[in-house]
Amino acid sequence: MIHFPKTLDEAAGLSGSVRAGGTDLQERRHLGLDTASLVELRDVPGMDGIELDETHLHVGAGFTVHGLSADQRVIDGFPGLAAAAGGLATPQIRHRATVGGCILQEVRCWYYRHPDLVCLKKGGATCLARQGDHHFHSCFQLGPCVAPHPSTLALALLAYDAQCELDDGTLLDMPTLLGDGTDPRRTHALPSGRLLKAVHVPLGEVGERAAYGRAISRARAEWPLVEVIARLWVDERKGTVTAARVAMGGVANRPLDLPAVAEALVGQEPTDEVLAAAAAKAADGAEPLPGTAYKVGLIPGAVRDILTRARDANLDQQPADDGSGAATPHGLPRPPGGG
Amino acid sequence: MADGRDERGSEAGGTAGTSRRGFLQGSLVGAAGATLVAGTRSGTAKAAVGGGSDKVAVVCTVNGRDQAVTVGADEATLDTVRERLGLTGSKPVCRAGTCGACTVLVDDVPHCSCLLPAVALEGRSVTTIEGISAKGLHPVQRAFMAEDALQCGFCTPGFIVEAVAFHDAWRAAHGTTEPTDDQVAAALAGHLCRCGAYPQIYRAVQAACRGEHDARDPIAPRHDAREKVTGAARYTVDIRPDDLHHAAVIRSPHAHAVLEALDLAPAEGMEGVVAVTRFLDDGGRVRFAGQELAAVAARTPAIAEAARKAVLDAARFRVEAHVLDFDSALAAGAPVVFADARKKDLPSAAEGPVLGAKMEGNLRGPTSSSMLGKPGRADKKLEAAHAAGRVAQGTYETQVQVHTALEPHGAVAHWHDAGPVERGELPRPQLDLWISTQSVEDAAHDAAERWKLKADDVHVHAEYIGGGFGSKAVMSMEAVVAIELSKLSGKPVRCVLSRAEELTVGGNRPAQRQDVEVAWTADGALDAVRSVGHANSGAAVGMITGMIARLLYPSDDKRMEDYDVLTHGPPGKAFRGPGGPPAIFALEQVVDDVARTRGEDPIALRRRWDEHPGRLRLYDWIEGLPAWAQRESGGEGRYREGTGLACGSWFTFIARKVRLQLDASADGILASTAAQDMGNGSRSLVARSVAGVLGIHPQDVQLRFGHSDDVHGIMSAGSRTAASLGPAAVDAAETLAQEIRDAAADQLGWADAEIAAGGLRHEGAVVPWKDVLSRTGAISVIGKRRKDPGGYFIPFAVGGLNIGKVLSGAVQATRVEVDTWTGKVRVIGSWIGLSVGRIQDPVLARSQVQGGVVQGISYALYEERRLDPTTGQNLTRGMDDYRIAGIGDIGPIEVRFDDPDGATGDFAGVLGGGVGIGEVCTVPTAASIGNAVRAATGWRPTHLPIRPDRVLEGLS
Repeated sequence: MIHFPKTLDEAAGLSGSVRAGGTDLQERRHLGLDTASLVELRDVPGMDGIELDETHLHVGAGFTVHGLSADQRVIDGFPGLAAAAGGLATPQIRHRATVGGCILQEVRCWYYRHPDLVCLKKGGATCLARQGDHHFHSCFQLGPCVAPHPSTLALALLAYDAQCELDDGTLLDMPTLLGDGTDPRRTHALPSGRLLKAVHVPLGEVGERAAYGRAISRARAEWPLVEVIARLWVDERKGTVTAARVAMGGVANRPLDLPAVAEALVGQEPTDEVLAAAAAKAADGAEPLPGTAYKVGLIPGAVRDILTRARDANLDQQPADDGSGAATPHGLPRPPGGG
Repeated sequence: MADGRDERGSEAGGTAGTSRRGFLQGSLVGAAGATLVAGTRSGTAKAAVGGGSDKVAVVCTVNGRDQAVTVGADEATLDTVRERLGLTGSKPVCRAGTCGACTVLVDDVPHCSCLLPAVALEGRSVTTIEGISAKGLHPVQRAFMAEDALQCGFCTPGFIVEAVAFHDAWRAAHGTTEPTDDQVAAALAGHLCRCGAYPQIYRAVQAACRGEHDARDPIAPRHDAREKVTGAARYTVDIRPDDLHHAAVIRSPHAHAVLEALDLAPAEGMEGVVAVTRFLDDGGRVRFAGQELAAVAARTPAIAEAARKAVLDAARFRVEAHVLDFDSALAAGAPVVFADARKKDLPSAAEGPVLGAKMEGNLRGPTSSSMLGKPGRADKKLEAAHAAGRVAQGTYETQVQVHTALEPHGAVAHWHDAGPVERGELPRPQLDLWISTQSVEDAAHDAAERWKLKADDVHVHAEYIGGGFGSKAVMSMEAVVAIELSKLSGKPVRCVLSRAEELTVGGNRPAQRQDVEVAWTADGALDAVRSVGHANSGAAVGMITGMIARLLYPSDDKRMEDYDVLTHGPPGKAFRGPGGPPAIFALEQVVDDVARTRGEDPIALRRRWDEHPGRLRLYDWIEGLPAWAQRESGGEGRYREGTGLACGSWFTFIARKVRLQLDASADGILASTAAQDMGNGSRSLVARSVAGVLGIHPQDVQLRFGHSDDVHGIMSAGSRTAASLGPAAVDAAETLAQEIRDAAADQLGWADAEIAAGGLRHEGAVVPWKDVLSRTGAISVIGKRRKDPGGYFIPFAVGGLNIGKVLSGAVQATRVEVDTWTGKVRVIGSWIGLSVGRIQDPVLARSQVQGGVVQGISYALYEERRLDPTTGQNLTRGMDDYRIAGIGDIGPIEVRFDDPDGATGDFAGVLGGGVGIGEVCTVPTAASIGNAVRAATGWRPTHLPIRPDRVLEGLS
């Protein structure tokens, strides 16, 4: 059964799996993981806009990830968000995937996605990854499910203090929308029957230097072992960090805000040593599984990498929309190509 | 206004200061993305659909033509264009948006059609590869042809569609400025090529962007390039005979179990199911998760899937303890994988015949080849050398690598009764089999034998094959399923593995554990080698890494032992250079340690130990490279660079039974053989060989490949094609020229006729072949593969193959950068030299070598099949989880052929003066990367893949 609601209100009144771009849902349906009725948002108008006013960036839930990465207003005012949007998945996926769908997508855990296996998330008794092969899983324990949260945009929007607007007008901040990770069946905490309508991102102070990146084995197009976003403000006269915001994904079933890392930067001159010392705090509180102990060792380097890139971000230079936010640090040698 | 969205747009105006709700209700300003998500659409479709339905009418434009189609709610655009519209150029590979082979343009923007709901096409304009090709070749297609940016061609339509969008946008913005490698890599990050055509893809996209291919269609070095860049090439998955039925395979979810009861009745009773068959009797033993138990054929894939599930849900197993790794398989009391099987039932992971060995529990070996040379003397020498401190040693472990051909294993079988009937004969059943195979001839032979058919009654077809790499050399279960179900139902039946099935049972290079010791004498000569290899081949046997390691550094004083360790994993198969990359990863790193321990340059050491004449010349080239001069430049910073070197060798195999037929007439020259081209270029090789003799252009030779009814062909495996098929083609062409000359003399009275380039010289002018043939009539000849002047390693053929006396040689230097913060290893560049004698087709040879290096990089750094320890189920079932190298991962790859003209005579003993390159070029890569990481960081990687976590641990 498929429904084609004409309005968001109508969509909210229907039960079933909501389909926007479909990039995650289609694969899960192909695997037989989702068999509910479809609530197809194709004909719901007004979901795919983007606008900047004096205080906020307003992004419709149906706006594309590519659009977010390529919009000059986002690049100028929300550089970390633009870099994150340009650094996830592949060009084709970014062109199709929506902001709402990206935030609300399901985990990539290979037990969850295995049609023959019934994990905790699918109503089983235990988390199969905990006792099994969890090489790509969490090293922070927020709840029984150890699949890392899949959404890079959720991470970025957390670092940008975004508010999520639901179809009934309710506004939720990102931590509330995502939930605390204790319920293994849910990857977010969108209230039942509600739809995500838009995200509103407050304009930050001017002079933001930001970077996003992920630790992966290949150059591009790989789910992160660790992903990090950093926003820094540096007093040009004093040369010290006046404010910082750092968050990390790939390591827990929700993106993690890292206030201790930010605190370690504020008031300091962002020297290599200061950044390294701050980054070292990012792994505090980790409770790794046997197979994810390496992530505790990887986190400081990954965070330091992004802090360094944020510090060194050329404020005049716009990140290119080439997906290289994931792998090609500015000011570092570019990977050579072939030929 | 017809389009509601324009109306709303004009109302809100998209001005700043619009209220939040107003913005959401109305304006649709902003970036490109805004046009991509469907807004309200007008038209008749929605009215027909109503509120909720399973079937949706969609009106859209496909390749410029209006289309009204009824699609399923979940249906992917890929299925709509392929199955409903017959546009099979878009390829199904990963079904998860990872590989990009199915990419189509929607309103000129590339989309993965496998994840794009067909209902989203309402009011949209779709362009597939066929649409791009419709108005003549696009500059990008021409560039792909000219630069040879393709091999098997299965990923090519997706790459082209994406590159066309990139090119058109780039040219509009930047004119003919060339994009950087990084810009090309970013644009093509959503595409994967398993053959490793990436270096040429960079060149092609850049050349097209420079405007070099705006005007004329090029003459491609690859004979079938045009078919591949236009999506016209038809692979097994594209074969759709009328009344096609679809198979689904019931597989074991358990790694080790006794099948207690498998009831087929739930499937048999289902509407639309036409045949059911089983492969394991009740009481039979399951040896790996994924093992085939039964199969069904049904009218639609959905019915087949429902029947599969019904049978599996009702199946009962007695699950037993399983073993998956070396230690558990060899532990006392471990369950024995093949306790009750006869030896001939053991599946082979080897390319050649399985060598004899004793078997005890799960340990099989050492194989008979272990007794070559003087192993006892090697032991004694090693003992003395250990005492003298003149031994380097190490234990190296390599992972399971999955072939991951982008075209999965697939077969379409049609068992029918329409055989040719002679008077007094009964009609004989005929089998037509389309199959993605490395040997149409062997597939026909195997099918005839298994189903007791006459050889003449089996017709196997494989015109295009989307990669094989060893996994499609022998007939596997998809063919058995399709044939059996077609025989039972009388319908054409298709069995194509899903990507999850392909990554599980499609074949793999076994995991390997190598214990290697290398001893040297007081004066630095090679003293003795001991290499003990254990292969975890799953439920299969036959790996021979010691045999491969033996090929380097000749000496009798070697103990090279090979063992199979049987486990409850999917069986291994021969994989490009079977045994080679793991064997060399171990041996060449230990040899590197010998040089380090002795404080000696690694090339200086090899110059003394290595006797391969071609490699000795190639060392000069390596020594002249800046990357080699700075090989230990690591330092103490975040990024550390280093260059490593490794060698490899491979056997020379010659299939002398191969034939090539030429049918020449005024209409042209047709070459045919029961061989196939899986992307290795055998078509081009034949065309070039024939054309070279006759003095015509290769594109003027027509080819019929991939049909078992033609004259004796050759399996595309074991680096045998070039040295076998090439000379047969030359022989055919020489014979043809001679026969045309003779016919001209006899029939036309041209006593003076002489063979010349392009035709016969007669009365002072060259008369083109076709003009001669128009007067003599058609002439057909069959060329043979004649004996090699240099003789053979052993005087008789083994398994249809003669083994040449010469070995091919490779030496590779690879430079890497190691990020000490994140553990990432990046290949900066590769330089590979090949000693293989005369090169018959320089462009295609270079492509194949670069592809071998790409696969080697991918093996060394990324690929890893992982099984769930609890259930034995494969976890790396998709191409997000089973990672192969992308276009941004490879770095430049420079290829040098030592003796491309055959001037040295090193390979003069082989007819044609050259040998195959397909395997030797992938053998040294992983080892050279291991040595490079050691040079960069001081830490030596002993496990593959060299993952970030291993690097960080190694450096800590």
